[in-house]
Amino acid sequence: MTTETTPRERRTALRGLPGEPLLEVAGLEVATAAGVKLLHGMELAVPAGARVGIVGESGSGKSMTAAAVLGLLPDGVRATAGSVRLRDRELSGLPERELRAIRGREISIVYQNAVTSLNPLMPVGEQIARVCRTHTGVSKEAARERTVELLDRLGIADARSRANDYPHHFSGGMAQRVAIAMALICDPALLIADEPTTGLDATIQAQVLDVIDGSVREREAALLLISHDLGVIRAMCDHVAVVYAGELLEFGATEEVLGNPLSPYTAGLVRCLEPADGEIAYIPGRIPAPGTPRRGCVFAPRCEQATDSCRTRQPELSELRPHHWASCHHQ
Amino acid sequence: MPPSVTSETTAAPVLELRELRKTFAPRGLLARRRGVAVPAVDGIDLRLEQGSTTALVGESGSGKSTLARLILHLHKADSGEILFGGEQVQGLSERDFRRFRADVQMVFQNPLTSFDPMHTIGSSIKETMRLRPPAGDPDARVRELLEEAGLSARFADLRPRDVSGGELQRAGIARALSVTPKLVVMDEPTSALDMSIQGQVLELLARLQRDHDLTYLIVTHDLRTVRMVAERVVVMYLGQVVEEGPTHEVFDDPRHPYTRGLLYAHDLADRDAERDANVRIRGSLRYPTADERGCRLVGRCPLAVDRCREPQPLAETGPDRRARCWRGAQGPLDTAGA
Repeated sequence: MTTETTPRERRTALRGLPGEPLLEVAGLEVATAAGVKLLHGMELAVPAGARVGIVGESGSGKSMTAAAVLGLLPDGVRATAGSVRLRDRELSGLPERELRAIRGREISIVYQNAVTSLNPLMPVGEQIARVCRTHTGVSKEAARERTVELLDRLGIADARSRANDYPHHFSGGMAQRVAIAMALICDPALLIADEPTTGLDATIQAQVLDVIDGSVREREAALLLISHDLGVIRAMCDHVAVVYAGELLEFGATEEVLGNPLSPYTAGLVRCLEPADGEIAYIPGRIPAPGTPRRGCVFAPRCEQATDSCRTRQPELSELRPHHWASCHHQ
Repeated sequence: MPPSVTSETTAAPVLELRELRKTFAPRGLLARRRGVAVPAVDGIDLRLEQGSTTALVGESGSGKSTLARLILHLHKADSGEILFGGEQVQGLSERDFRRFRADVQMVFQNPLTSFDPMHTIGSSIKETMRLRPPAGDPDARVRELLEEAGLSARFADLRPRDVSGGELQRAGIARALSVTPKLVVMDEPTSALDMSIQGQVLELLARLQRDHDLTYLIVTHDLRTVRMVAERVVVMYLGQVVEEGPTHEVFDDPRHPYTRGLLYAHDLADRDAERDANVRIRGSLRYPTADERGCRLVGRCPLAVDRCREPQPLAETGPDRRARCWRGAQGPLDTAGA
């Protein structure tokens, strides 16, 4: 990451949300070494204790945004502009050592496939206890006790003995609980969950979402939930960020955004979520590949309402209704 | 609404399964824990009428994918019959079996792994087409198929990695159609695609079905897809059919607690504690032991009582509807669960 060239003073356009700001992402640009931009001025705000969902299709930049927040961008990809603030602290450009103290302690993450994100060669209890000790310096015994207690609270039966099992001994849903325990052991202020239930069966998905819901609520932690499934976001989050091709298209309270979508893209997603019986709902076209030249609104090529001005002039993200932001010329 | 199957259909169904069974030998840790080999497919009867779309729904371990593979002869059934156009598939001569291979095509969940990465899309389609060579120029036929699937002819020269997931799935459908099949079996055809794109593929499938009078069997866990395209739904749990019938009837008035719990789990909105206690499927998949002969959901079902430990037949719950639950056979499942 660079420190010298990027303007760090930028604040997000999403200001004035109720609650104390916890995470703010403003004008974030991320690009590959070859100069292909993956995020084009991403904006995001997570107030303390809030539950914000990021919804978007593959290639929208939702996981890239989370990776940039954590300073875990893939090799060769770096943030080239913009700001990531945690409370009053700028994270973008922080040295790895300082980021490491924040990751797992203040911000932690749960990924889609828990089994692959856990160390296969170490009992799960030990992995969780290590995270606890690294960040808090408690004794080995205390860390172990906290781990067992947390596994138990997250619905793992016989937690004391299960803590000695290895990741492959757990089913998909149970492994996801282990990963959640590891993410929560240090009581972070923000839990990022990146497609935490994708690939799980529906009945198991509902259980894991309940575990996330309950444990975040209990700790008064904020949740940033990333999903391609608007249904999951609607059930879990009080705010929703609709992202598309590396940009934020719409942001606001979930009920408001889904009830009165301002961007035709959001309106299309809502239609896809709840098609009428026998109706086949979809959005025509496809998301532009990274590196596609941009002019005007990024969604215009797929938008049924697009006009000449949409194709030539980029709309700005603005607060079009109270606490409801969108970038669309039609509003 | 999709057209419903007319009751006066007298011709043999495109596909009929009778008492189909397949057990895999217990292997590995999980099986040893189970102690007993539970059939992956345990006595399935199924009829697919010409031009219809049936969805086979279930979660991991339901046996739905195994059933699809049995139909395609990718696995051999232990017992039971598979009839295609009224003919026993097991007894087909080599030549007729080749015809069967072309008549029944498969579309896979992940188009990236079902296409050879080294070959162009065009040459992959031509490879399949060898099962039933077209009358004219194969290259012209490939272009025609791609265009019919909503792709331009230039896709014939592209490789899988050069196109999007939705486009490759269209190419997979074009490939399946290249041998003019009668039945297309699809294993999670849209699950790897974004929600906004899934409908594009489903609409293509609906159009091709109308144009070619195709019969579809869609294996999926996604109830949204089922609602959109399937007029009939068959719900499986641990190798058995637990409920089947017209999709909108089954979804509006499920008669098996598993169907109802599945619908509830999908519908993440509208939860409350009382409904949760009476509807929700608890825990995770549990295989029955040898001496358990009752309903296989018994340990997870919120409505389970002693009677559920007795064998449960698949009983009529309405015209063209069946469910494997004594409660559902008596009437609608009371939401209050009493």
